[in-house]
Amino acid sequence: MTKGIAAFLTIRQSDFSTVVARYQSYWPGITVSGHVFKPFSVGAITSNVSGGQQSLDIEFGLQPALEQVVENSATNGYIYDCELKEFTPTATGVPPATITTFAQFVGNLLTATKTDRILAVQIGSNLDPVKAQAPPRKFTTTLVGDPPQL
Amino acid sequence: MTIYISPQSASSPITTNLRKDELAALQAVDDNATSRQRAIQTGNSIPLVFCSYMPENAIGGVWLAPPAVRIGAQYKESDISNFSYGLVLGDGEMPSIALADIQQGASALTSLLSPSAVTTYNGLAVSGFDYTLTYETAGSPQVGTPGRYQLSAAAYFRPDTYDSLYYGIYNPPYEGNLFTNLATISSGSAGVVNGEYRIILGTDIGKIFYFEIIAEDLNNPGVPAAASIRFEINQAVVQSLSISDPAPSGAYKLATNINQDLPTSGSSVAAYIDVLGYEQATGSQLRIAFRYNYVKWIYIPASADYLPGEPAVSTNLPLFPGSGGTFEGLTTLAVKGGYVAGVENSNLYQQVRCFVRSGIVVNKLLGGSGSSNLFPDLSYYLLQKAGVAANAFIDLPSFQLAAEFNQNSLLTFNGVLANSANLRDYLASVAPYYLLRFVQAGGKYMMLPVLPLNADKLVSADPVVPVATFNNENIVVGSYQKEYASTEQLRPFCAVMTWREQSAASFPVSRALEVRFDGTALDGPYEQYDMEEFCTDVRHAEIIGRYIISSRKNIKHYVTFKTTSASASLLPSQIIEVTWSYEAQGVQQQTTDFYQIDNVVEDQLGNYQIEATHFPTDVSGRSIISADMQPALTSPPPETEVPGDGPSAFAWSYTPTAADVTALLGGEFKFFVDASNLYYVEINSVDSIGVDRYSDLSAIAVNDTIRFSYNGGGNEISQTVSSVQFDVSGAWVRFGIPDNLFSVFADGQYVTITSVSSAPLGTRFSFENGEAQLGVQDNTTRSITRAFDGAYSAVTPATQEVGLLFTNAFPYHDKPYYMWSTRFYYNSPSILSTGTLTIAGQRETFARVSTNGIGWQLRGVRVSSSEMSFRVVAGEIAIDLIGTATVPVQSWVHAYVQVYWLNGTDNIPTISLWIDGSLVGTSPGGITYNPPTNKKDFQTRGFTKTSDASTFYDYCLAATDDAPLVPMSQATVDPIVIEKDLAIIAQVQPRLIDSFRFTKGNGSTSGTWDAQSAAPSLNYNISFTDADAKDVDTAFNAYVAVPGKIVKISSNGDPFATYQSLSITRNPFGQYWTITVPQADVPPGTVLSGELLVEIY
Repeated sequence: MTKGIAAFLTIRQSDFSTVVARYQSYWPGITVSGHVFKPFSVGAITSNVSGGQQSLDIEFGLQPALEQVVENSATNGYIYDCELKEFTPTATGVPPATITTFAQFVGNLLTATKTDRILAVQIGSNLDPVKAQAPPRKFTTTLVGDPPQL
Repeated sequence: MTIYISPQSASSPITTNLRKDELAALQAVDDNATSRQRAIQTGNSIPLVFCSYMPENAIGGVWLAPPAVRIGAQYKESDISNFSYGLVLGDGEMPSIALADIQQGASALTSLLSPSAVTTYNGLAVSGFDYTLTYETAGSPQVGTPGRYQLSAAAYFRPDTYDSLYYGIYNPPYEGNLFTNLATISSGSAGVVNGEYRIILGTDIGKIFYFEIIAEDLNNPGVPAAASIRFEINQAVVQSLSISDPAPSGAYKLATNINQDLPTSGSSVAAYIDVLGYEQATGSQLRIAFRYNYVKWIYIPASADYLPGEPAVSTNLPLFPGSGGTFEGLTTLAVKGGYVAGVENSNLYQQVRCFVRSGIVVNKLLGGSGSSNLFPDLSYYLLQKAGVAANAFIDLPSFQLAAEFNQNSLLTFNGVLANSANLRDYLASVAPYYLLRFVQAGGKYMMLPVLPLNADKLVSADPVVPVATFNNENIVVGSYQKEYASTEQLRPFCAVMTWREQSAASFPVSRALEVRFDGTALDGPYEQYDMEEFCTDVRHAEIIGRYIISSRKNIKHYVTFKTTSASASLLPSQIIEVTWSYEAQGVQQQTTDFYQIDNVVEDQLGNYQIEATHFPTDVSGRSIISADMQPALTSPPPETEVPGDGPSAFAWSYTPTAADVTALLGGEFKFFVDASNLYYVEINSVDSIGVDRYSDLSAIAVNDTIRFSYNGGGNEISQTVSSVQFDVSGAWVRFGIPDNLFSVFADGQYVTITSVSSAPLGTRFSFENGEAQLGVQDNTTRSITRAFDGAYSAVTPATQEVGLLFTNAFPYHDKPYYMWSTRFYYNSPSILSTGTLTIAGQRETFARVSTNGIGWQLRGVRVSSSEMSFRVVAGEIAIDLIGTATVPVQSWVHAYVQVYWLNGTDNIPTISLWIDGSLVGTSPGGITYNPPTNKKDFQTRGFTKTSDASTFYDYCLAATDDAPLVPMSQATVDPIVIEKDLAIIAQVQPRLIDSFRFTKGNGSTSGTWDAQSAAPSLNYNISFTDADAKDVDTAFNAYVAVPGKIVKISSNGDPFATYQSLSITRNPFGQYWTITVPQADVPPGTVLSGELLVEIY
């Protein structure tokens, strides 16, 4: 039995509740569960034990509206929620009733690259090696004044 | 690879040394008690203190050697020497540090003179702490007697002869005993003569007793002339008179007793004689004469052996005590104390240390906020603080499960994060020491247990159930690869687990625990695992050591294979079964093993590659590693008796206010007496820094002790609570106390209130299956069977009145009662962690819930006049099974509500249970609740008359201090454990309401001030707006409406003087406020010029 795999991408604002855009990559011209068709491909998803930096690569076809969303992503901390769904294709080409999610990835925009063909983005939720420190804060003069001298 | 804990073996000496250096910086293990106080260094990481002391186990807490931001030392060679330190405890808000938990050098702070300590969040206590550095020499004493003046014993007269007549200033000879003619006025024609005549009486006069003058017409002796006289000492008039009195000789005489002491030798004394309109005939003459008697100043020379000695000289040391700083988001500790004369100067500069029982306040994964000792709580806090990990990227359920697992297993984190490290690396490296893995899956961060857990969220010893099975059918052909562990890896070794042994009474020391399999690695090799930074429990160290050596011994191989997208949802740490069949030499072979997933990676073709580590199991499918760990996992934690009056169990500062103020503001409390002459202290629930302490206040119960410490801890009064009342809205709590303390405390005085739980009555009794003491329904019919047997509680005949008659059961109505009541069963030990228990109809009741003596608390909050709601304070200690010895009928978990009864005559409560917002049972009322399968079960059938003419009830055990129950043979409920110390609450400073600045002027002009003497007071006039255009009017209008506030005033850059209960009036015409200060309270030397600073507290 042939299986189809579709990627559903939901881009949300940083509060995770307000949706900026919904895209799906499989059914041209059809909106599936609010996800409009955009040509894009999704890279590999991994899980590991080290809590190490993970990322997911997504390549879009060039479209001005999409570019605008990507440009706003870094500034506004948009959250990309990508679901990979599995289904059995129908003879008519319309989405089937049953579509099963088998993988999901959530992340912020890490990098974005545009060529004359594609707009490639990399999303992830990394703990920045410089910014994410434990403990998080440093003693500053503003905070503790001029230190005593003995 | 499954060896997640990095070893620090002897083969890695550099790594080991680095670890030790870090510890030195942390001061986690500090054996140099008398080291010098270290100063703060900007640029360093702000330490984060994460801990929570468990008194029942004596586990946890952190000894801290905080750096100083202020240093004050006033050393005196011949007097008491004092020190003050402003220290930074750590980042975030931390509860207060009790005085008894602070050391300076090798001395307990409480053993020093006038000790005091104030913990502050978002600031640093300054008032009462002298952050200056001075050195005062001893000087030398005076020897002999110095030269001095004294009054002569004999009296003298001046003058003793008459003198010639003339005009002008007259200097009389200093002898004689008769009148001296001062002047004779001659005139060529009739008319009026006025004149002033000055007599300089001398400079050696000590005291004048009597003075006379005469003024007469020489041509008409005996005719007086009008005159007056005034006396001046150093040009200041001391007496004046103008009387007429015929002189004995016919002359005109003025006489007075002066009796005027001259302050010192050398004072100038003069008399002025004024002739006031003498009408004289032509050629007439006026004669003025005088005399007086006096004693002299006589100089007594110094004695022959006189040496003046050297005065003590105070010098500001050329050191810097520190200045400035906002301390925003920091918790600071101000400490002071003193040493008797003769102490070494260096003592003042020794390092201050404190035992932190409760670290930074965080949002707990298992509910509520407060100090925690769960590593998942720390991880969650750090991830949120990092900011880069929004909640969308944190898998909260996994962190909550991890927290519950650590809590149930008593794997606690008590340490200080002081050296900056990358957060991801830190969490990944420390998590294995808590049997956890820091995992990223699908972009989300997770905290997953390294071993499967059972339903009680403990390491499972049951057969492992794999989440997926793989075999030749679903493994991509050619992708299967098995790698075996090396011989070196499998070689037996000894894991040396270092941990931190400490107590509140002793500094931490490093301990090493050797963990090895019997008979192996007796002489090594050794691998060191350093847990000093966060582990204070040898049991914890042993658990991890067992995990490490068992993993290394039993993990034999690793597997890698590819499979379909059906495996995309698998997570690292999950257990899978892999069966691999192959043919070898014509024979079909098959191996089946369990593996634990390390990584799941999607490749370019859409296949998923799984990397997994051997998960060794026995023939029954049980984890071998888990079995090796069970002896340590199931060993009971150490138990210690929690003292009934532990130090500073409950403390914070309030600002008392006047008794007639009915509406308390935040940070205030008052004393008052009611019509029945009963005394009370009423405390606003919100403390001085705006934190609502209602839940903590309401935990104080009758017979608890409240201590009022004041004068910086130098004085203390204890009161036993006789009653407790709560405000309907939770605004205040009122405690009945035996004494009227209002006269003890001045308004505005800062007081630390300490509450100590009364000794639990429950220590007097215990019970086990079949032996409960029963009979609250009727004290004459006490059932002694079948209580807490898993199916029933006490059984009494139906002829008994249905309901609860506590009055008959408890003879001492004024005593608190502990009730083990309202048993409810449930078979999931965690479900009540978010439940709410409501007890209605009993105004002053709180309940505590315990399971097998290890439990969580219910804290009561009165929500209306007839209802109190009790919130479960979850996460303090794991809920535990009672065990088969006490639950023979079924394996339900039994929980008992312990009701603390203030008065046996009060109404019978209705007890209802809400779980997750849903009402699941109420009592009394005859409701029998049948819970869904696998859900909670709250049974109240104890109030139901049943068909067999029996009444079941669940209120079945009670005692008072005076009438304890009969001790029973086996303690299944340990009230000592239940009666946990209450949390230590932050000790705070009075809150600065506002401050103003003025320049010297007339007080009316905007931004100016002026001072006017109005003896015995001093008036400070300040304009309606200050020098920075701040509106003084608004603040002062609000201020004067609440008397008793504190005002601090500083002029000319001098230290602030503190006043309270002052008269403050507004002059709308002069456009200034007048603050009237008693002159006696104005510090000596106050200069009333320059800039004026006014602060209102």
